Amino acid sequence: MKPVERVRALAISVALLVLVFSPLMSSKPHDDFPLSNYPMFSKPRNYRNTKIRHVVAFDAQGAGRPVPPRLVGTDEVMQASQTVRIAVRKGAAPDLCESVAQRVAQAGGDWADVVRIEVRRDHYDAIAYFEGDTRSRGGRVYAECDVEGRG
Amino acid sequence: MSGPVRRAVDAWLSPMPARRLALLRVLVVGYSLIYILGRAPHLYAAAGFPLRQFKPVGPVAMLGASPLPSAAVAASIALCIVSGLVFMVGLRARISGIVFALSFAWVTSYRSSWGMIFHTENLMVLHVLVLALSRCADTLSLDARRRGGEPPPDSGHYGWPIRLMCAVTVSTYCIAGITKLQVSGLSWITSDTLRGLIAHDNLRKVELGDVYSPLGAFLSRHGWLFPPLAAGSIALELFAPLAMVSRRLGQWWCAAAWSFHLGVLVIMAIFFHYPLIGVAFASFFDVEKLEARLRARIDARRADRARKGDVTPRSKPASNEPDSERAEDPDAPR
Repeated sequence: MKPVERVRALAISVALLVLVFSPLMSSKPHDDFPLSNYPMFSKPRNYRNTKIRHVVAFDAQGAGRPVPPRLVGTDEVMQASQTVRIAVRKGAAPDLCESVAQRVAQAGGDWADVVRIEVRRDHYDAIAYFEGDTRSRGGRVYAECDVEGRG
Repeated sequence: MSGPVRRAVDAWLSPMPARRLALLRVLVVGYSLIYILGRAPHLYAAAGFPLRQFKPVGPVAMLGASPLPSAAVAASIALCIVSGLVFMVGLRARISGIVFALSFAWVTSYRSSWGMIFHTENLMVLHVLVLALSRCADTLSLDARRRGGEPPPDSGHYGWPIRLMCAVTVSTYCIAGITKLQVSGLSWITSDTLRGLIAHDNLRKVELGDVYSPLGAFLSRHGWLFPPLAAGSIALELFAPLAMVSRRLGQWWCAAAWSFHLGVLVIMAIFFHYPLIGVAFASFFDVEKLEARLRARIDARRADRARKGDVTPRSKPASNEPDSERAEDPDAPR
């Protein structure tokens, strides 16, 4: 390699590695893309009081079940989680509720018995949950709406 | 330059085969293309998300608070696919590589700009960028075929990009480990943080109506399991740079990192596809030798079938395979 090519190769190598490590170097490390400090599994979770914001569908008897991501407007579970979280934070839970109700109305099949939708936050003990105690220990309803023609 | 620094620089720039880097281009860019093609509907779906979710990341931050119109989203995905295809086959690779690297970074950043960052894509984007800045199409490419002549000899031009891909890979793991210690300290290992993360993640999946890991849910009842698992995970991340010390150590680390991702898949139902398929770790291996072995096996099978009267055997090996590689590999076709 010619000297100038060696310098170019080294410059690119050093610059890219500095860039890759740069999210750690700021005073407040932050997540970004494609440069990240990969914070997703770094923070402890209070699993004895796990708060889940989600959309729940209810049938005429009042039995509820979680609405899957595709009916929330995405195929990605984490995107669905963020969609609900952002809608709640920005006061748009009623809009989200209506759009999910429309998708449920069109979905038919397994969802034909659903009459009501709620955007809500539930609290669970994650360990007890997987031992069979799946009841919510509290929470809050941010929005509720009927599925058109079934209310 | 002092002695140790000079030695380090010489080692970084020491020669590797052109074919190895070219095969990495085909593998990484080919995989990225398949990924983009498969994900195109999801990438385009971002055009339909409500404005309230728009939180631009990376290069998309230059848009401020205004997302692109849906036609521009579709055009950027199309540009990414076309330039990726052109770069993969090695046509005008200096230009097509840069166009693909930038459009790939743009498209994936745009998808991550709606409240959820897809960390499964970071390393792929960085690897594509390294390839775009290298001479990865000096062989096994339409550019090379047009130029004609012998395959280029081993050179430092092909060594540093491969080492840089390896260094970027280990850096991402090391950063993840450092962040865990920055945020939680040693209690990430000694407390039940990992147990909580696994239980929380699986519960969230159940309550969001998605697939979860029954094994992870079962294991989260047994707290004693998690400190050793946490110690192993964080050691794998923090000591990842040791994988750069020797090729053998690097390959062992790849095996450990692959197992780690398999564990994440099994107990958290999170599919880190790029490392699990193995493409993320390809730069740690002599891929041209693996290719030669594969070719030899295919040729042997063809010859076997030809003996039985099925097909005509290939008369000679691939014309652009360098002699040096065949000489290194006793199984390679001659």
